[in-house]
Parts: sequence; C-alpha cells; structure tokens
Amino acid sequence: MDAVKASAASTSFFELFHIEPSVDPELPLLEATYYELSLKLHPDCNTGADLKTRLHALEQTTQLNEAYATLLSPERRAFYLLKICGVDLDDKHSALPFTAQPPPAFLSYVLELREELHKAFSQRQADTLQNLERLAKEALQKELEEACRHLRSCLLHRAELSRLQPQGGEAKASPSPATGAKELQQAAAHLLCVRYWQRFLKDAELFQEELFS
Amino acid sequence: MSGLLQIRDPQKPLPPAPAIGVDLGTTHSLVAVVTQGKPSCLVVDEDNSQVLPSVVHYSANGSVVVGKYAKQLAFQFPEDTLASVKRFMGKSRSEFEAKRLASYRLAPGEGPLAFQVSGGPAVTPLEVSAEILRALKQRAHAALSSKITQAVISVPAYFDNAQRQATQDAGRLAGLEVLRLINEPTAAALAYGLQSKKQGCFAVFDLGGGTFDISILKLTEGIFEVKATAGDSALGGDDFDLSIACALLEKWNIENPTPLQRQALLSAARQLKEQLSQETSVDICFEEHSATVVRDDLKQWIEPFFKRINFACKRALKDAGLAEGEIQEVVLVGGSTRMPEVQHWVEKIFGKPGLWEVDPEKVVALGAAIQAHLLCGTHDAEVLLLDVIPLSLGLETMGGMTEKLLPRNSTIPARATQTFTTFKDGQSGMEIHVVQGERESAKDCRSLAKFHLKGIPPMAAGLARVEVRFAVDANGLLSVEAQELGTGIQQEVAIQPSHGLSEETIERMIKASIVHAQEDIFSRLLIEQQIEARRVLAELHKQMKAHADLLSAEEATSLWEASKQLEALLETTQEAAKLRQAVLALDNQAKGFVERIMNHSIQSVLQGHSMTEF
Repeated sequence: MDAVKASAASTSFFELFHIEPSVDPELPLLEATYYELSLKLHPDCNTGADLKTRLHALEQTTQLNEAYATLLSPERRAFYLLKICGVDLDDKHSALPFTAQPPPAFLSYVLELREELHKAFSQRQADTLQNLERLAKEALQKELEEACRHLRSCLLHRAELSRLQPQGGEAKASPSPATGAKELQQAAAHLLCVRYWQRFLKDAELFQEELFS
Repeated sequence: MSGLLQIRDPQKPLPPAPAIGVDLGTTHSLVAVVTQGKPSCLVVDEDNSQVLPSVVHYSANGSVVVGKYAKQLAFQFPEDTLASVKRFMGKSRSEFEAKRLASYRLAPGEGPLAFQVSGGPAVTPLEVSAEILRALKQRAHAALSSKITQAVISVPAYFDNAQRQATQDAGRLAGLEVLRLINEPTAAALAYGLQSKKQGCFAVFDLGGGTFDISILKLTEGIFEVKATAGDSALGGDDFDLSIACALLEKWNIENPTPLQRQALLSAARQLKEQLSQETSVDICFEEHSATVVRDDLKQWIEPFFKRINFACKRALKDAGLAEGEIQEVVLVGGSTRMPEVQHWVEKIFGKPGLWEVDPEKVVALGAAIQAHLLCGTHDAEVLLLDVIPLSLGLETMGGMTEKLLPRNSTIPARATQTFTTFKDGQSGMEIHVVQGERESAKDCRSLAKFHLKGIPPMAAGLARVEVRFAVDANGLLSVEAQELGTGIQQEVAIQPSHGLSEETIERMIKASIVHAQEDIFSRLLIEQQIEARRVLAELHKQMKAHADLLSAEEATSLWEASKQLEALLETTQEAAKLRQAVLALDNQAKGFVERIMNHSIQSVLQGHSMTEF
C-alpha cells in the first residue's frame, strides 16, 4: 500500500486564529485565542443544544484542535507554512519543483550517526543514546532555524506580491518571482533535513523506551 | 444507607436524577455525586465505607457478590473470586499473562478472554466490571433515593482504544448511559484545581492498584488543558505486592504454592507494604516461616519499577515541552502514593515533594462527579477539560511499517485523513489495518481493526485514491471511515472490540440485566447477610472450641442453641432483614463470652513479658 497525503485544508489555520501567516506568531496570544474559541465551540460547552449544533461544534472543535497543534509546534508550523507557499513535502505524489534530496555530505553524516545509534542500542549504552539524541536535537534546531529564515523571506515576498497585484494585474517593478522561488527551495531543502532528524529522534526515543521497559 | 430511611413528601416532585462519577479502580472503586454544588463520595457498604473493593465472587448457586463480602470469600474460594480484572479489560486471550501468583482460571477453548467460575458460564472481564458498576449504581440509588441512569466513568489516561471500549461497554451492560470516559489524572486535576483555585503547570502522578499515569496539565481560568500524558496500564500497587510475595517465596524456598497459599501470601504482602508505610521494620509470619522486613528490603524489591516510572515522567515532560523546574506542583493520586518510597521517587524525578490536598483515594471519583455535573448541561460555569490521546493512531503500510495519522498527545476531539492508492493494475480491494502505539513495526503496535475495502473499479496501479479518515471523539474512542474517491464507495469500519463480545451479545446482556435488576438488589442484600451469618457462626464455633474453659455449661448450651437457630434460619429465610436481626441477636448474646476471651488473651500476653515492655 502506497501512502499519499491528502491535500490542503479548506480554511487557513492562521485565519482561524485571526492572524497573518507568520513564522513567529505570538504564542501567548495564540493560546488565549485557542482557549476563547474552545469555550465557545467545544461540544462540552454546548451540551444543552440540539444535535445539529452539537455536531457542528464537534466539527469546528476538531478543526480548531488541529490548527492549534500545527501552529504551536515550531516544526509543524514550518512545514505548514511551506505548504501555504506551495510546497507540500507530505504529498509524495505531487512532484516537487526541484530535486528533493539533501546534500550527500549531510546524508553520510546522518548515516554515520545512525550506525552509532544502533550500536549504542545493541550494547545497551543509555548514556550514548542520550548523547546522540542531544546531538540530533541540536542539528534539527539548526536546520529549522535556517528553514525559518528562508520562510520569513518567502512570506515577505508573498506579502509584497499580493500588495502589488490587486492594483493592476501584472506587477511591473515587483520583486522578482525568481528570488521567491529560490527562498522557497532553500526552506524546503532545510525542512527535508529536519525530516531526517525527526526520524532519527523518533528511533532514538524508541530505543530508549525499549531499554527501560 | 440513611437514604432508604428518608421519608419523602409525596407532594414534592422527585429530584432530577443526578449523573454519577465513578472511579472504577483495579483494587477498589468509588462513586461520587455533586449535590448543592459540592462533590462528595457516597457510602457504598453497610459499614459506612465509601470504598467498594473491586472484587466479585461467583458462588456455586449462581449468585454474585461484590465488594467487601466478596473479598472475604476470596480466602475460601480463590478461584471463584475475581479481583483486579481491570488489568484484563480489552485484552484478548493471547494477551493474557497469568501472573505467577494469581489464581485466575482461564476458560478453555477459543473466543474472548474469560474466566471459569463455579455456578455458571465463564465470565469476561467486561462482565465482571459491569457487576462492579451495577453494584455502585444500586448503592448510589439507595444512598440518593433517586434512580441513576447516567455516569462519567474514569479510565487510566494510558488506556488504549480497546481498553476504553471495554470500559464503556461495561457501563452500558450495567445499565448506565456513559456520558464520558474521563482520564483519571484529568479527573483528579479537575477536583484539585477547582478546590485550590491555583493556576499554572501541574503534574498529576497517579499510581493506583494496577495502573500508572503521569499527566502534565496547564490550568488557566477554568480551562484544564492536558499537555501530555504517559504511563503504564499494567503497573501499580498490585505489582508491588506480587514482587514482595515472590521475594518471600524465594526467601522461604516455597515451590509451587497452592491457590490458597498464594491468596494468603499476596494478602500478607499487601499488609506488609501498608505497615511499612507507617513503621520502619515489620515482622511477618506465614505458616511455619517468619522474617523481619525493613524498608530497605522493600525498596530493593520494588526498585525495578522506578525505572519505568521515571522514564514515563521524563517522556511526558518532554512531550509537554517543559522542564522539571517549570512544574509548579506535583499532585499525588492513588493509594500507592502513600508509600514513602514512592514519594521519594516523585521527589527524585521532579525535584520537589508531591502533594495531596484532596484525599488521593477519592480525588478521581470527585473529579468524575464534577465532570458528570458539568456534562448534565444545566450550568453555565466556564470550566472545560481539554484532553489528549495517550498513544499514536496509525495504519499499517507496505512492509509492515506503521504510518502515524494522529500522534500521541493530540488534543481530542481530533481527526486525520490519509489517502492511499493501489499498487497493482486492476486491484479491486485494499486491506486496511488500524493500529495504536509508538512502535515502527505494525506487529509491535496494538491492532485495533483490520478491514477490506472492496469494489474499487479496475484501474492502473496508483490511480485509485482511497481516503481513510480517523476521528477520535471526546471519550478518546476512535472511528474509521474509508472511501474510494473515484466511485464514492464508502465503508465505515466498526473498530471490532477486542474484548471479543459482539454488539448483539452486549445488547442481549443489557436486556437480560434490566429484567433482573429488581431481583438483584434484594438478592444482593440477602447474600451479603448470609455471608455475614456464616462468618459469625464459624467464628463463634471456633472460639467456643478454643475457649471452652471460659464458658459455663449453661452459657454453652444457650449459645449453641442460638447458633443452631441461626443456622436453621439461614437455610430457610429469604429475608435479609430477618437474618440481620438474628445475627445481631446472636452477637449480643455472645458479648460476655467475647469480652472474657479478650481479657484472657491480654493477660496471657502480659504473663510472658515484663510490664516495662508496654
């Protein structure tokens, strides 16, 4: 069975929270809005209502929960922003507009650490496992920061475009689309690396779990 | 049971039936209700206790006894008295692990996991739990003088889908509309948070008789948001007892203990554990063996559990994105947190001592009652629980790997969608396997459902699009739908409960139980009095034999006659009240004799010692 992710949600998660798409949303504000909307929408706060209202409440709360989880986590937020900008790394079926492969040096480094991870696990070295986990976390953080830097430019670029477009169809002295595409590609490349580290960390966690159970 | 005696003005309308909150525990259960805005636990036993032992006895004549009396019968009938069945909720036959000292008799043959008991067909853990729930419901009915129909039932946060489903079905079987399955630590946080009015990040450390949960919550103005949860649905005080019992068996070189010995040893182990919470050293005697056990021994025997608990706590903190220092308070829940060693663990993990501000054994029931009250809908208090799923939900993909659709700690209600395609030309069906768990390989996760989507029109490989939709409701229960997008062929998947009872079987059982409900309450009272009468008789006869010298011939004759009368009544009467009276009368008659025995034993103890020892 070959897995393919479904395509985009109808309403933007950012819209749901009444904010512009951003790499750095204000987290306390996000939380406050989440609580406020939950109190209004949650089925448990509408127990007296009729079935139709309650079903609608369920539907809306489910979407709200998904949106909040996506926007709250820096990693999920970055992937989501990339998707908004037009590159869905989860959709394995649609072709990406560039070769989606991290550089060979990166791949061999991950491979090397993976070997160490498996070795530490088979020799039941909890300390080494933890060290490798820390290393991977730092590496992930670096890639994510890089991706975010490029995503910020992408969003800026998009904002510029949409600011210029409504005024007269074709933008004349507009920012070059090529710059935008390049930033997007860079962001996607770093997020692909993030994916590798995410998988690495998941395995590291599973190994540790097995050591302790 | 003062409620039975309350006289109600017939002119006044009946009070609306309250929804109860139930803590369905491994070793004991409680029921609570909110009255006049305050939650309180109800009395569930004749001795005014609010705690009902989660023990069910099936006697040879087909009657069922729940609670304290059942627990007393465990020594006499270890195999017909089922305790700690919560451990087996939602488990299949192949997952049954007989603990070394347990005396469950697995029913032979195929089919769902069930236990053989005398006096009837084998019973499944779901049915046993339903008996406990039914007992709680009836006793709440008696205490409140109003019919009980709705309940919120607590489950360990770390219960998987199958365990939750089994609990919900047990509630239905007991004739309850289950308004919600509430996670135990969340219930505790609700009771604790509303009482203390504190805000911030809290950890709820819940170590009960059979399960361990750790939940990290954020409390903000009436919102109880669970940030992460972790745990072990097979780790609790029971396991400590077992470790202690095994260590003693080893110490005394006892091999192949009988069911009776096991029962006695487990009970002794529990007592030892409880005593060591108060004292630093305890002497234990068992048959011809004896030993002195100090806290360090206990510490050593239960040490292996610390690693698992520590790991779960660390993972919950990590998933919540918090460091130990950011946890304001650690709230202790569950009877096992009374152990000094467990408190020491908490301090070691979180760097601060745990707290109990609400009774750790009642707090879950109280929280469940609050949630029941909130869900009844007539309030406008702004209190909301936002809970999560404890384990990731996913599908098996090519090569036996799992693809996670909903990661653990996703807030519920939640949903996820994934599209799959065919990998062969003209493929007309697709096998879809729903799993729960964190492991990479599907066979290491819990299998929730396997189904076959049929009727995909012939197409080239990779062209068909099958959308699988997961939805998790507020109880944490999953439903799955699959649809071929081209043709619109849709299939709803019943997550086949792995407790093995079909929907029809459950429906049939529910109908049968409604018919019997009325007789049940009377037969329960009678059975309990019969047990009590037998116990009193046996004790009296034993003492009369042992202390014949303390009885005058006259007294002996009259006591003997009175006991004969009670025995006769026991055989003939169907009235619990009559039997009760006879027991009390006999007890009264034996009072003088019993007092003499007590005085005598005190003297004989004193004779062997100097007064300074006391």
